[in-house]
Amino acid sequence: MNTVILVVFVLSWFTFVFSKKQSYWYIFLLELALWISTSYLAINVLISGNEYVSELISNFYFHPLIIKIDKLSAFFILIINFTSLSSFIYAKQYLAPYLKEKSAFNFALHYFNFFMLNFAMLFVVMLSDGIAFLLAWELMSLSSFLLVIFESNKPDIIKTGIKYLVQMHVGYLFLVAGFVIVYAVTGDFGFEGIKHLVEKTPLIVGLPTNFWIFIVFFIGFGIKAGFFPLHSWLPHAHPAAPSHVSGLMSGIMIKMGIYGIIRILFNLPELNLSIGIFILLISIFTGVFGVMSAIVQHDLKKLLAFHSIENIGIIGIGIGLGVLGEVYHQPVIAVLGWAGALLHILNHSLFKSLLFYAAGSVYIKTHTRNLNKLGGLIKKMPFTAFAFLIGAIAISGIPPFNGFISEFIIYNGFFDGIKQGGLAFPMLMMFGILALALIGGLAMFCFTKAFGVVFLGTARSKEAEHAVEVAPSIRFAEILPIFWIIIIGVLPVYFFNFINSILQERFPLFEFKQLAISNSLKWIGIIGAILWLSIWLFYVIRKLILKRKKVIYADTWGCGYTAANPVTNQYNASSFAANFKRIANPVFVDLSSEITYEDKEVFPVKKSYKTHVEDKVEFKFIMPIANNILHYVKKIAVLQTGKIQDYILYPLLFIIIMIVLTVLNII
Amino acid sequence: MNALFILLFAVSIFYFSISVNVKTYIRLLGFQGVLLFLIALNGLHELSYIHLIFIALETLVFKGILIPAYLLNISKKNKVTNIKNFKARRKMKGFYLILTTTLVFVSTIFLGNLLKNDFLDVKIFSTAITAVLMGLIFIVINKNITIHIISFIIIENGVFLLALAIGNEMPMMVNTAILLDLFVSVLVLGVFFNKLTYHFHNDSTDILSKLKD
Amino acid sequence: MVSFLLILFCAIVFPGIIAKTKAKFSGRKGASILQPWFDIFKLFKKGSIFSTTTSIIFQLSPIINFVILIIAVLFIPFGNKFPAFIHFQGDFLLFIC
Repeated sequence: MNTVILVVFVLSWFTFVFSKKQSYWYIFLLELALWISTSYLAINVLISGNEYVSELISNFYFHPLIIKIDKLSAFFILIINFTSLSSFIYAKQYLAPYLKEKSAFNFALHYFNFFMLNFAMLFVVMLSDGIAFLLAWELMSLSSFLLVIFESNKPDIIKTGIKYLVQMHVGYLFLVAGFVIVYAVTGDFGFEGIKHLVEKTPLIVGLPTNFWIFIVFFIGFGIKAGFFPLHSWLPHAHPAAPSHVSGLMSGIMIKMGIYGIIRILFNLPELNLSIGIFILLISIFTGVFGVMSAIVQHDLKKLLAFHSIENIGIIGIGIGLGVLGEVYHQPVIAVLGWAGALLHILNHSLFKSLLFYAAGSVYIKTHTRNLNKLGGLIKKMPFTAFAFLIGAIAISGIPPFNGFISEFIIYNGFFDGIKQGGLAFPMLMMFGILALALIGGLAMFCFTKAFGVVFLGTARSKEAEHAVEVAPSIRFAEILPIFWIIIIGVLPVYFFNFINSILQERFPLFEFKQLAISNSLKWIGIIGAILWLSIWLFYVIRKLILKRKKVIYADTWGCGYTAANPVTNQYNASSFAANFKRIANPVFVDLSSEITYEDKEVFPVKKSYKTHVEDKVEFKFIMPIANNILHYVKKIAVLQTGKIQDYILYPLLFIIIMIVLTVLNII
Repeated sequence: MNALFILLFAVSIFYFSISVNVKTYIRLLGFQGVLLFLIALNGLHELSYIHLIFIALETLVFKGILIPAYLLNISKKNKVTNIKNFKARRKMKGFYLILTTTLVFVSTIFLGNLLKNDFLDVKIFSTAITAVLMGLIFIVINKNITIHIISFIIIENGVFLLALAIGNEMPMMVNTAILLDLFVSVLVLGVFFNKLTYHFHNDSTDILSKLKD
Repeated sequence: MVSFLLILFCAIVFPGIIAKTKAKFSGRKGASILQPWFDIFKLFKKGSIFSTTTSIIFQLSPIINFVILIIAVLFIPFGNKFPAFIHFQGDFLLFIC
C-alpha cells in the first residue's frame, strides 16, 4: 500500500502532458488507486482495532516519514475518500462548459490540484510528526487555493483567493507557534509532544498553561474550520470556487480544522473546565451567528457557506459537551458529546456536499447564484430540486434523515447533563439546549426560504425559465451522498455503534452497551422507515381517489384576471427574510438603500431598491485593521525600486550583518 | 585529494571575478559541476547506489553538462557573448572585484575557524560561504540577465557544498528540492530571458523596473 | 395503544362538540356533533384545482403533514397507566421535531 501511495504521488506530476479530457481520466485512475489503497488501510484498522504504523520514506528531512492510522484517522480517511469520490465524479460535467475557454494546462492544473488536495488531506490525518504534518497542511491550503481560483480570469475571484490564502497562512502561523511552544516545553515536535505536557501546570492570567496552549492551536485550526471570529474567508471562498470544490472544501476540508482540534484534545494530558466552557460558548456563537447570517443572504452558495459555519458550531457544541462530560467525570455525557460531534462531521460532509452540488447544478444551468433571479426550477430540474430538498431537510435536522440523528445524540447528552447535580453544569447544559434548538429552528427557516425561492414559484429571470436538467454523471454524484443520508436516517444505530468503536480508544473502560440511547436510535430508525412507507402509501391512495375526480390546473392569482404577473407577486429572498432581518440586526451591517418620495411627486416615478448585507465581523473588525496595515505598508514601498540588483543587495547586506553580529557575539 | 578539489573550486570563484567573458563563465560552471561531483564522491562513506546515481545525476549531468549547454545555447541565440558591450555595463572594475573576493574568502576562513568543531569541515565551509556571497555580489554588480542566471547557479553550488560541509549526505527531500529548484529557476529564467530580449531587444535588467507595480 | 385510539377518537368528535357548545351559548341550534364527519365525506367527493406555479411539493405536503401527525400521536402517553405506543429515552425530542 505504501508503494502505491508513493507511486501515485509521483505519477500525478505527469498530468500536465495530457489533453483536457485525458487529464481527467488520468487523475481519475490515480485517485482510484489512492482511494482504494488508503480506504483499505483505514478499514483494516477499523476492523482489527490495531493502529497501523508504517515508514513511508526512511530519510525525509533527517527523520523518517511515518504514517500512523488510528481509528480516528481511519474514520476521517473514509469520509475524505467518499467526499472526494462524489466531488470528482461531479467535476467532469460541471467543468464541461469551460472546455472551450480554458486551456489544457488549466484543466490539468485543476485536476492535479484536486488530487493534491485529496492527498494532502489524507496525510493531514495520517501524520503525527509536527514538520511533516505542517507540510501536508500547507499543501492542503495551497492546492485548495489553486482550486478556488479556477475561474481566474475574473478579477474578484483572484482577490477572494488571495484573501483565502492570506487567512490560511495566519492560521498556519499559529499552528507553527503552537508546535514550537510544545517543542520548547517537552522537546517533542508534533502531536506526541502534546501527550507529554505536564498535567498540573502553573496558571497564566488565572488559567492553566495548557489552556493557553490549546488556544494557540485552536486559533490555527479554527481558521480552517471557520469558528466564529475567524470565519471571514469562508463566505467568500465558497461562492468563488467551482461547486465541486466548494462541496469538497465545505464537506471535508474545513473538517480538517475540527480534526486538529479533536486530536489536540485527545492528546492533552488533562482537560480542564476552561477549555470545555470555551469551546461550548464559542461554538454556540458560531452556530447562531452562522445561521443568522445565512438567512439574509441572497447568494445561494454564500448562504450555504454560512451554513457550514453553523454546522461547525454544532460540531463544536458536541465537542464542548464531550470535554465538559470528561471534566465532570460523566462518561455517558462525554461519550454522547463526542459521538454526536463525530457523527455530525460525517453527516455534514454528506449533506453539505450534496447541497453544494445541487447549487452548482443550478448555477451551471442558469448562470446565476442570485436567489432573486431564480425560481420555479422544480419543474425544469426535478432531480436537482429533489436532491436539494433532501439536503435541506437533512441539514435542518428533521427526523427521517441523518442530520437529526447527530443532533439527537447531542441533545440527549445535554438532557443527561441537566439531571446531574450542581448549578453550573446544568446551567451550561440548558444554555446548550437552547442554542441548539435556536440553531435548528433558524436553519429550517433558512432552508424553507432557499428551497422555496429557488425551486418553487415562478421563474424570476429568463435564464431560470430556460433551465434544463443536468447531465447523468452529475446526478449520479448527487445520488451517492443521498444514499448515505437516507441509510443513516433509517439505520442510525449501526452508525452510532460504529462511532462508539472509534471512541472505545478514548474510553477503554466504558460499557457502550449500557447506553439507553441505542434503543432510542433503533426506534428512530423504525419510525423513519414507517414514515417513508406511509407517505408512499398515502400518496398512492390519494392518487387512486383523485383518478376519478376532476383535476384543474390554473394560474395563481388568476381569478379570471389575465394580466396578473405571478412573478412579481411572490415572495423573494429579501422579503421572506425581511422580518427576521429586523431582529437579527446585531450580526451584520445592512447596506440596503431606501426608497424615498419627493414632496412634489404626485405620480411615483420608477424607483430602484437594493438590498445588501455585509458580515459585521469582517466589516467592522477586520477591514479597518487591514486598511491601517496597508497604509503603513505603502510607506515601506520606497524600498521597492524595481531593480533586481537592489533586491539581491538587501539579503546580501542582511547576511553580512548577521555574520558580523554572530562573530562579535552580539546575538 | 579532497583538499585539491576544494582549492580548485575556490580558484574557480577567483577566476569568475577576473574574467569578463560569458563563455568562460559557462565553462567554469561546467568545471564546478565536475568538481562538486568529485568532492561529494570523496565524502561519500558508504556507497549506496541510489545515492551515487542521484549525486551523479545532480552534479555531473545537470550542473556539469546540461545547464552549461543550455546557457551556452541561449547566450548564443541572444548574442550576449560580446565582451565590449558587456564590460561597459558592469558597475565595478575587475581589480576591485578581485579585492572583494579575496576579502570575502579570507573572512570566511576566519569565520570557519571560529566555528570549528567535529561536525564541520572548515575548508568546505569557507569555500561554500564564499561561493554563496560571491554569487550574490555578482548579481548586485551586474545588469546582464545571463550573468544573473550564472550567479544563481554559483549560489546553488555553494549551498550544495554547504550541505556537504555539515553532514556527509543530505536527506532525500533536501536533495530533490535543491535539484528541482535549480532546474526550475534556470528554465524559468531562460524562458524569461528569451521573451525579454524578444520584446525589448535589450538584455539589461534596467528595463524590468518598468514592470514594477 | 389505548391512548392512540383515544386520541384518534377525540380528534374526530371534539370539533363537533365545540361547535355545538358555541352554538348553544349563542342561542342557536347548531350543527350536529357529527358535522366534521359529513364535511370529510363531502370533501372526499370533490376534485382538485392546482395552480400552474405549484409543483409536486404542493401535492405532497398535506400527505406528509398528515403522516407526521399520525406518527406524533403514537408518542403521546395517556396518564400513568397507559404508556404511549412507542416510548424510549428522548422520544420527546423526536416528537418536537
